Amino acid sequence: MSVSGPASRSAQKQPGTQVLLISSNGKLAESVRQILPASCQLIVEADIGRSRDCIRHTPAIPVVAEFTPGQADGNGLSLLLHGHSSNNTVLIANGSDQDNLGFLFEHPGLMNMVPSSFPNFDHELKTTLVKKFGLKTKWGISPYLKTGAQIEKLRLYSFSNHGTILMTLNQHLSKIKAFRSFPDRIQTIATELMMNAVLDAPPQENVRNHRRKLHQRNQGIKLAKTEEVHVEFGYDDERFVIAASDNHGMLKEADALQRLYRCSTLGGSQMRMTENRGAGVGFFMMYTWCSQLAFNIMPGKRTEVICILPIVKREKFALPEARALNFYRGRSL
Amino acid sequence: MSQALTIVKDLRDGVLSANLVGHIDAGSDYSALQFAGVTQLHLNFKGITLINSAGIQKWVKFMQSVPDTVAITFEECPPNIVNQCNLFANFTGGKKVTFKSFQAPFFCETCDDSVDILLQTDQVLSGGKVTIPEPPCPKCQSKMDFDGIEDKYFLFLTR
Repeated sequence: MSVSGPASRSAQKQPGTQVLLISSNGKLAESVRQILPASCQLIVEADIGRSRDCIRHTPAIPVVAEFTPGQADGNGLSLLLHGHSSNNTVLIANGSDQDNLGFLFEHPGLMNMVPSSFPNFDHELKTTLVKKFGLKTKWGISPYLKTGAQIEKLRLYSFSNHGTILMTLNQHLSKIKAFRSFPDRIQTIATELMMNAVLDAPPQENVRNHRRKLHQRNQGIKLAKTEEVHVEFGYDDERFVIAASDNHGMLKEADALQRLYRCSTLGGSQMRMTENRGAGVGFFMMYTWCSQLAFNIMPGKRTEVICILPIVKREKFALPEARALNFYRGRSL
Repeated sequence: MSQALTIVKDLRDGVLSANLVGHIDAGSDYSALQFAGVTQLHLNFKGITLINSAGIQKWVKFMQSVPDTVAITFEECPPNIVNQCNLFANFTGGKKVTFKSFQAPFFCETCDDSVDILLQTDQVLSGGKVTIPEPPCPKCQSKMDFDGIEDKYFLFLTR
C-alpha cells in the first residue's frame, strides 16, 4: 500500500486541493493517484482512527460524498465515499466493515450520497472524480439522465397542486413501458418525497400544521414561498429519476445518513412502526425500490433528494438490479 | 388523483366485511370500523391504489387496535399491499392474519405484457409449500410466467 503520510492539520492548511483516501487498498490508491491532477496532494490513510482525526479537523461543509454498498470483499458492506469540502479537500473512503460504515455515516459533514455499482468501481471512481472535482454541488436530475431526456419541473404549494403533480406524473408514467407495479412505486416515492420535504420546513413557519392539513386534504392550504417544494422528474429509455427539493434545508445530513445506515443494516421486520416522524418507513421503501439514491444537503439553505429507478419491462429484472448494489445483503427480505 | 380512503362495510352475524378503496395514507380514518359483537373481520384491499409510509404507520396502529378475539382475513390484496406485508413483518400489527386471496403479477411472452392475476391462497399454498401457477393470459390464453422474485413475493404466506 502506498501511504504518503497521515492526514494532519498542517497538511490541510496547505493551499490547493488535497485528497484524503481512507483505504488499505493499494491498487485503489494508485488508481486515484493516476487520475488526480498533479497539483493535488493525495493523502492515503488506512487507519480509520487517524482518518477520523483528519476529518474532525477538516471543515466539511459543503461536502459532496458518494458511497457504494459494494460486493468486492464479499464480507459485509463495503463503502466508497467521495467528498469535497469547502477547503477543497476531497474525501474518499473505502470501508469494508460495519465499523467503518457506521463511522462514516456518523460523520456530520457528508451531504451527497450516491450508491453506485462496485464492480464498475474504477470507472465510477474516475467518472465521479472528473465530474465532481472542483464542483461544490450538483443539483437537479439531468446529470442522471441521457442527453435529451424529458424533464418536468413542478412546484408543490397546495394540496390541490399536490394532486396535479401526481396527475402529471401519472400521464408520463402511462407512456412508459415498465412492469405493472412501476407506476405505483413512483407515485409512492413522489408522495414520500413531497410530504417529507414539506415536513422538513422550519417549524416556526407552521409547516408541520400545513402538512397535517395537506394530509387532511385541505384544498385551501397554501404554502408560503419559502415552504414550497420543487419537484422534478424525468426519464430516458433506461431510468426514471424523481427529485424533490426545498429552500430551507432543515434536513440534516446526519439524519439522512443514519437512516440510510439503518436501511442497509436492518431488515424491514426490524423497522420501528411508530407514528412518530423519522421512523424511516418511507426511506426504507425508497431504499428498497431504487437503484440509486442521492442527496444534496446544504444546511439551512436547500435540500434535494433524488431517487433513481431502472425502467424494466418485467418486475423480476428490477429487483436484481437493486440487489446488484448489495442492498439486500444481510437483510431478512 | 389523490383518493381519500373509503370504507364500505357490512356487518352480519358477527362478521364485519370491509372493502377498502383509495389511498392508505396519514389521512386514512378507520373509526368506521367498530368491533363490538364482531368475531370475524374480512378486509378486502382490491380498491387500494396507493399506500405510503405515514399510511403504513397509521394502518399498523389500527391493526393493533383490533381485539385479539377477532379473526382477521385479508382478501384480494393487490401487489402494493403484498409488497408491504413482505417488507414490514408487522404490517399486520402483530395479529395472526389469514390471507384468503391476493394478486400477483404475471407476464405473457406472446402479448409482451404483464397483468395482475387474483390467486386464492389455497391454490398456491399447500402443506407450507408454495407452488406458483401458470395462469392463462386473459388476452391470448397462453401460459404466463410469474413476474417477480418468487421467494420474496410469496414470503408473506409462509412467514
